[in-house]
Amino acid sequence: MFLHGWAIAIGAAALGLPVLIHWLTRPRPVRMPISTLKFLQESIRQRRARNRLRDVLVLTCRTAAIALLAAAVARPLIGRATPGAASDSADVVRVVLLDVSQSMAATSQGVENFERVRPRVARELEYRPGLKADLILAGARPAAVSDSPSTNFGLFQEALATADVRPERFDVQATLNLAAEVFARAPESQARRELVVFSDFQRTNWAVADLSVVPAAAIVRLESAAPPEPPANLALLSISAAGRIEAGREALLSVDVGNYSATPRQVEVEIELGDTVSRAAGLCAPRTRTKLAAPIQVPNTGWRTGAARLVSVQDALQADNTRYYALQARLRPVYSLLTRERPDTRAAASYFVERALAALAGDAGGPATIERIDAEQPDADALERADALVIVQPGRLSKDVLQQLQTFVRRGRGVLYVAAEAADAVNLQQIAAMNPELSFPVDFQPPQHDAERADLFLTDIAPNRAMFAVFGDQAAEATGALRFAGGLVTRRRPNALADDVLATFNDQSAFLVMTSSGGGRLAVLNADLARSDLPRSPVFVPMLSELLQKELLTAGESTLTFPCGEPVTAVLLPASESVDTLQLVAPAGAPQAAGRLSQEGGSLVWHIDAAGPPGVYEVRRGADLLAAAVTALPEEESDLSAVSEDVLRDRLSGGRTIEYRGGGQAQQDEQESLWTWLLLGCVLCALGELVILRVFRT
Amino acid sequence: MTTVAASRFLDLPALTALEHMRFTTRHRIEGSYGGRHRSRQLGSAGEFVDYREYAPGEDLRRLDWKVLARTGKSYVKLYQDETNLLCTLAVDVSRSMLFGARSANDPAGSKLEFAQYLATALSHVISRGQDQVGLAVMSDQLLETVPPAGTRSHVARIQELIERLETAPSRTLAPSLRSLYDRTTARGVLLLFSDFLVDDLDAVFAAVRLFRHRQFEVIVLHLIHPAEERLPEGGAFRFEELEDGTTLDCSPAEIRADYEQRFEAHAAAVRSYALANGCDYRRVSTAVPYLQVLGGFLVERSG
Repeated sequence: MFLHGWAIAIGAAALGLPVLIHWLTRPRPVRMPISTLKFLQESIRQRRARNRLRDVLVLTCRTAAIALLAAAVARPLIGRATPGAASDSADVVRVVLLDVSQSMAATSQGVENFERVRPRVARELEYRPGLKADLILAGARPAAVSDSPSTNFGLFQEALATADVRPERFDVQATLNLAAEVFARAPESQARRELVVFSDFQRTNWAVADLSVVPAAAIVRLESAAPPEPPANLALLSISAAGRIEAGREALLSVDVGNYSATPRQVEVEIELGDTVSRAAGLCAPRTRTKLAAPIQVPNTGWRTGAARLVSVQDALQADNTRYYALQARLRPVYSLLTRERPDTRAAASYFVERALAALAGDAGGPATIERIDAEQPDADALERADALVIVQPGRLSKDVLQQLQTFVRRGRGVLYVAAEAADAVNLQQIAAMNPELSFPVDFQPPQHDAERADLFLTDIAPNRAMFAVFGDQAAEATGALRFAGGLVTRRRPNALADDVLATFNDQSAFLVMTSSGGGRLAVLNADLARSDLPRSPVFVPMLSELLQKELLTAGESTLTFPCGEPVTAVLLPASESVDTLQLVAPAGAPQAAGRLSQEGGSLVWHIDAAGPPGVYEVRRGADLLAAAVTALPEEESDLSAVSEDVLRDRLSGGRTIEYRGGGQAQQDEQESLWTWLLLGCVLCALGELVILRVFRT
Repeated sequence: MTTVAASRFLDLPALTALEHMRFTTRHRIEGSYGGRHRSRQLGSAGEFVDYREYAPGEDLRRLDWKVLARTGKSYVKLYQDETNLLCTLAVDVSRSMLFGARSANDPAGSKLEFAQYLATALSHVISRGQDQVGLAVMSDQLLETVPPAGTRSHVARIQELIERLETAPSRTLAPSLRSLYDRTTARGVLLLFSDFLVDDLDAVFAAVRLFRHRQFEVIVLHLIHPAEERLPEGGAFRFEELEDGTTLDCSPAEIRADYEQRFEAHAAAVRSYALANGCDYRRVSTAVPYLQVLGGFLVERSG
């Protein structure tokens, strides 16, 4: 049995080549009369036996050289089972999983992992009596070529020939589930089941795989496409604006660079935005992600799209060296203060908030306008104009106002509700009831009459959230001295996310919680500012500034980025107009349709079954770009480190016996020493021929 | 006296350089006429038969003074009791003697042509020495035989026969030599012109021994063409035997050294045979001009 049987056929034909060459190139003798022929005959007769021996030896060497060369090319599989052939003639149902995720495009020694395994997959899908097979191309949404195991090997080979790497992750569990379904559809109950998986066994994909879903009696073979050592890779993982992008004002664009190598790398990123090009550079530490920043300036309001690229980088995976992004440049924000307190009431909570907002207005990054709205008779237009809303002492709000508020949030605006009295608890409960998305991590309850909340201080804060991170390492020290009073009693809700509680009082009640709906966020600051130290401390203005600008205003600013190959349902923007006037434009090169738009709850929602290749999907009305959504490679595909064989066998095997062949072992098999010995034998035979000719000449 | 050159192989102008030289024998001979060679029979009596030019060193008493006074030229009288040389030129006309010819129809350059030149020159030299010359044409049988004689017409006939020599296939020489021996009645000198490329070398020299037993002086002129001594350079040849047309394809490179050894061994064998049988052996290369060969031959024999 040979790895390349065709080489034997060629070698057999080549055996006649020396004879043909000898016949074609044999010298045409010159006729010459001679008187001493008998001496010639005697000489030849004497040398005949010697020449015959020489000719036999030379012919043997030549024939052996050609035969050894043919065998070396054919790669005999001595002592090994032929890949793709069962050791006996029993019926076999074989399901082949081929990883087509983006990481399979990583190159090692100039060859893509995918191309390295393609011929091995083909051998698994070759005809053999008693064999039925199926091929599953495994990406974000695995799909089987055939509904059930089939003998249509031509179909599988064709599918394999046209298969290519996709810019997607590998949903391992969904693929294994699909394989189990395929096995279940095989009618041959007595046939041996074989599951053959060709993948790079990327740790980010396989770490939580569970092979127990595969039939217990199935033989599982794991064929690794990855090299023994993970190759070095640099990747652009994300691009985002650091804060609100305002037209005409310089902003910072943050680029996350992942260095999946063992050495630090000096990295330069080129960022295109329209006609302008910015650059960000820095040293990326090994095996970590580094944030680089570059200044940008968008002259006009509206959406802008661009791309960032790693400059002059040669790594294993080139696809993740480019990333697209979209930005929306806005005007300077309008902050509105919704309160029932009179503007001239000093030392009131609204007074402190308005003074703090005024301080922000004088700041280069602060709002352009601060507007006070009477909570008793709120101006709808004024609410509509606000980019961020601060609600302080509003009293009991009507349902219409509450409805307007939850819509406000869902449309991507930010709201800071300063809860201090019982009416606030009712308001918050009603808001949550109107919109299930606005589910707070705590229930707000008015304090008991005899349990006044006072002299409270902060014990737990989220140091990485903007309003606390602005103080750096001094956050706990800066806020620990503050004393608070008032506010509502809070009780943690079951299954609530702890990350939504940004700070806690010493009585375990929440100080600051966050929730979101649609594109907006709602933060609740649970304290009576008039009775607390906070407004009088120097931390109030920066804390409020960070909370408004980094958490609430930017909620709708984040670029909508979706992983390629996966279904998407996303609220793009608040819109009340019909979708018929809008066009959805897919990025260049996207094979499938751009999806569809729908109008849901006053917002424009984008649906697509599988997001296309990396690029920007645009929503346009004529020439105007109304919204943009970016599709990008999943970050996990950039980390090329593989799960170890031990983990696969012990933790993920589901208790079954697994055959595992690593990438290096596969390459070693490919470079099995036998064929090198055969090649060496060929060379020795050629040298032997020269030696024989030399010896017999003398 | 002058001789008219009838044969194209008789180059009289070239031979004038050798006119002062005589073909001599190292042995006592038996001749039918008086000659300058020492005879087995002593004395100068006998019937006057002919004049011969005086050669320096000869007995002046034999000088014909009257002829000298009349003509101014020195001649000696030959009487019956003076013996002369009976030379037989035995020429091998086997096909192998054609080796070296320009083409199948043009024997120029071949060993045969060389033998024709040499034999013709020798016949002239011998006849000018008042000796008698005969001819035997040998193949696998005796094709032609002319007993030795000394008349001008006889010599002319010899030379004509030499000129008209044609080869015939033959791999043996012994039968013709035996036939020649059977026809020979008087002792003399046998000059054997051959390349000795025969199958019966033993038998040849067995026949030669017959001549030696009869006190013949046998001179073996072993004709060798330089192209016979070594094989030609080149890749592959189809060698065609001149005697019988047998062909052999081979590349000379592999067997060149062995062939040269065999040929030299053959030449050495001929020489050994010749010397062992008391013959006078000369290896004659046809690359050397025949006149040079003849001159050297005569000088050597004159002692």
